[in-house]
Amino acid sequence: MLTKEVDLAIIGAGPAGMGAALSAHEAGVENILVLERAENAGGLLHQCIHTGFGLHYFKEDLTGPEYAERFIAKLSSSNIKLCLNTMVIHLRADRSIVAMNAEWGEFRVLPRTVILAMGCREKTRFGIGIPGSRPAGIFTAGLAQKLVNVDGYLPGREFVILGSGDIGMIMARRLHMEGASVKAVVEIMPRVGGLIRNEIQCLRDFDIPLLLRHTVTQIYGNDRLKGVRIAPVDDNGNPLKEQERSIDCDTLLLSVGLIPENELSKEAGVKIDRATGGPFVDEFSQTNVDGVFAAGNVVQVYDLVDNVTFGGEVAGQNAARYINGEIKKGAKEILVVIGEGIKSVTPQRITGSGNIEFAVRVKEPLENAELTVGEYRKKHKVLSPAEVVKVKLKASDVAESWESGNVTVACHRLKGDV
Amino acid sequence: MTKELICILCPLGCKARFEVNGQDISKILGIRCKKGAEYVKQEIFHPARVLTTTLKTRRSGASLLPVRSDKPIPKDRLIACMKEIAHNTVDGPVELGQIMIKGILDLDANIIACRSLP
Repeated sequence: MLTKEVDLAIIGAGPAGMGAALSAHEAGVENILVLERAENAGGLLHQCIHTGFGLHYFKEDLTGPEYAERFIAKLSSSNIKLCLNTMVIHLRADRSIVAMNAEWGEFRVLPRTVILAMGCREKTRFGIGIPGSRPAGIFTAGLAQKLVNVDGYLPGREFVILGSGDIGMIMARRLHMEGASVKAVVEIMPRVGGLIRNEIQCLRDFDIPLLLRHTVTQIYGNDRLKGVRIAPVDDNGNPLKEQERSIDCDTLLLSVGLIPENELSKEAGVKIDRATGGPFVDEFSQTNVDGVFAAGNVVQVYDLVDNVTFGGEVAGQNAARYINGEIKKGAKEILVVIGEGIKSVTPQRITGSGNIEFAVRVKEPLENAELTVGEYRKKHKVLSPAEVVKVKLKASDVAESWESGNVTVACHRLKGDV
Repeated sequence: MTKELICILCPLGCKARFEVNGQDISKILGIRCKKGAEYVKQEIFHPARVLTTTLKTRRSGASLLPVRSDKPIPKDRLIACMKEIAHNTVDGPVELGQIMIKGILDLDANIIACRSLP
């Protein structure tokens, strides 16, 4: 079997993988191999033709393809080796990779470091267990997005969208603009799952009905979807059957959440945090497996691609430091504990030898709030579960935690008005 | 008549409340910053959006070219622009940012390419 020895192998050439490759290259790593399943680098950015990308990274409002092309151009003018149409089938604990493509057949990669950048995938109907028949016409929102924006197919005429994540709301607008009818966006929570600007610019702008505290209870149709039953839910999220009603539609889109894609990580022995669905990482983005780093949506699902790129860059820089022998496993680690009001935090452990950037997701929206990390506190006018909060600290900011061995991240509402 | 509008510039999502009488609006209440007040005025009198969509191509390997307007387009002209764009097809190589439709529907906005097609 063909064997490639490289300094750094990156699995995935989406925004995280490209950011990681470019920053590692800039930090002096010579021999970088990027393995990408699709026929292009850029990942999901190609189908995200709406704007809202790059506001933080470039200070410009770009579409997904524009954002991707800036990185693709940099990649192709570097000597980073990009293998497209290449499927990674194994990643072992010794970091060896088995992959295949048409040019090399099945081949082995022996890297000194690995960066996991596989991104995330969508939850499907079977992940949320909607009862009913199994007709054609049920798509995840991201699949419909690819069909409409890349392949040029409208997958239906009359849509119901379950879930109000950003992709679901953005697809509601897109389908409306392409002449389809979006009969309702159905959301089980009392608020939309995505960003407020998407609720306004995608739903309200076009008078698309938003049904909060509702869910789909039944799917009808044999060959093709004929309609769905929906019902309001009680405080525990259980449908109120007596208030059920039907909506005729030929297509149901699901925008019910994303899951980090970690099959390869698990094979290599990478430990997964149930709160994020991604690997436990330290402040260098290193997983529990020596020399295996992780970046982007494989670590936790972000809301903004800018943060995915930043995460990729952190992993790339630290992979370079690892190769140079500058990152040693510390004798002692601080564990990061999830406290009141917090859904998830990365990194989940700190070795204490570098700056730390926490990415915190809160459980509920809070106005006039305070976020605390051990003794460190910071006021926030608003904390929203739709947006990851970044907290940059120095190791000394959590110095007192070295005694106890753990530091708690929490948030609470401050007394008084905003 | 009292109207309400949510500012989308930042995650605070301030709720603006104001009275409308034809072209006159009362003092805007509920907005916590200057930028937000500007946004709300723009939204009340001239709501406009950057249009993002696709253009058909006759090229193999890329059936669609993602495009957008280089300036915001009045909200009530968006659907008309979509219909106009649907009449167009791309043949030749395209550069990122190239103008595909100049001054669409006599508006002060061009439809530009969001990626290159070599």
